[in-house]
Amino acid sequence: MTANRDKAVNLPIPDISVLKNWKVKNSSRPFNEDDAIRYLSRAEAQFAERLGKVVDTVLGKDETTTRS
Amino acid sequence: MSMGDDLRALKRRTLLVSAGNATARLMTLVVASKHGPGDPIRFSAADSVLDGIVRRYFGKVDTFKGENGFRNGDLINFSKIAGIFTLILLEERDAPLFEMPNRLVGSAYEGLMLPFFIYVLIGSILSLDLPRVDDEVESDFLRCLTLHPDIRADGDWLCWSMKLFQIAYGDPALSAP
Repeated sequence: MTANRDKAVNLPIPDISVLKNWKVKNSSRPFNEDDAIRYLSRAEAQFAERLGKVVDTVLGKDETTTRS
Repeated sequence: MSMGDDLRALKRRTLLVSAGNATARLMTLVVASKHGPGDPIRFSAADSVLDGIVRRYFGKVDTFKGENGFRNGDLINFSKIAGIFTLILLEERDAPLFEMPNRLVGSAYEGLMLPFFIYVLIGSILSLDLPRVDDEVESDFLRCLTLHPDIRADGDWLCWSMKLFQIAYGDPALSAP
C-alpha cells in the first residue's frame, strides 16, 4: 500500500476558473421536419384536448362553462 | 448562404407554418366550444417575420455551437432545437403572428396564442406523448411561457428543461447520435 501510494502522481488542484469552460454534452442525428409535421397531424386532436384543459385551468371552470 | 442552408431554412419555416396553422385551428375550436362559434383565428405571419425568426434561430444555433466547441458537422440535439426556438419566439413575442377576430382582441385567448404555439411546436419537435404529459407540468410550463418576461426564460435552462420534457414524455431515441 505504502509503495503504491509513493508511486502515485498527485494531480495539481485545479483552479476554480476551469469551471467556466464547462461545455454542454451534445450530439444528435439530423432533425427531420417532415417527421415533426407528421406527428403534428396525428396529435392535433390530442392538442385540442390539452388546450381545452389548460384554458379551463387558467380561466376557471365556472367561467368557461358559461357561454357568452 | 449555400443551397443546403436555404433548404434547411425553408424546412424550419415550413414547420413553423404547420405549427402556427394548427395552433390557430385548435384555439378556434376551443373558443367555439366554450363561447359559441365565431370568426376563425388565423396564422398570418408575414414571410419577412418568419424569415427573421428562422434567421435568428440559425444565428443562435451557430453561437451555441461556437460557445460549446462543436466540431464541423456536429448537430445540436432535438431538445436544443426546441429550447432555442422557444427562446427566440419569446424574444419575438410582439411579432404579428396571429390575426384574432374582433371578439378575441385583448382577451386571455390572445395572450395564450404564443405560449400554445410554442407548445405545439416543441411537442412536434420532441414527439411528446401528450396523453402521458402531467397536467401540472403542462400548466406550469404554459404559465412560464405566458408570464415571460416576468418569469424570465434563459437559453441554457430552457434547453435543459426540454431535455427532461423529452425524457419524461417524448422519444429520446429520436435524437440519439
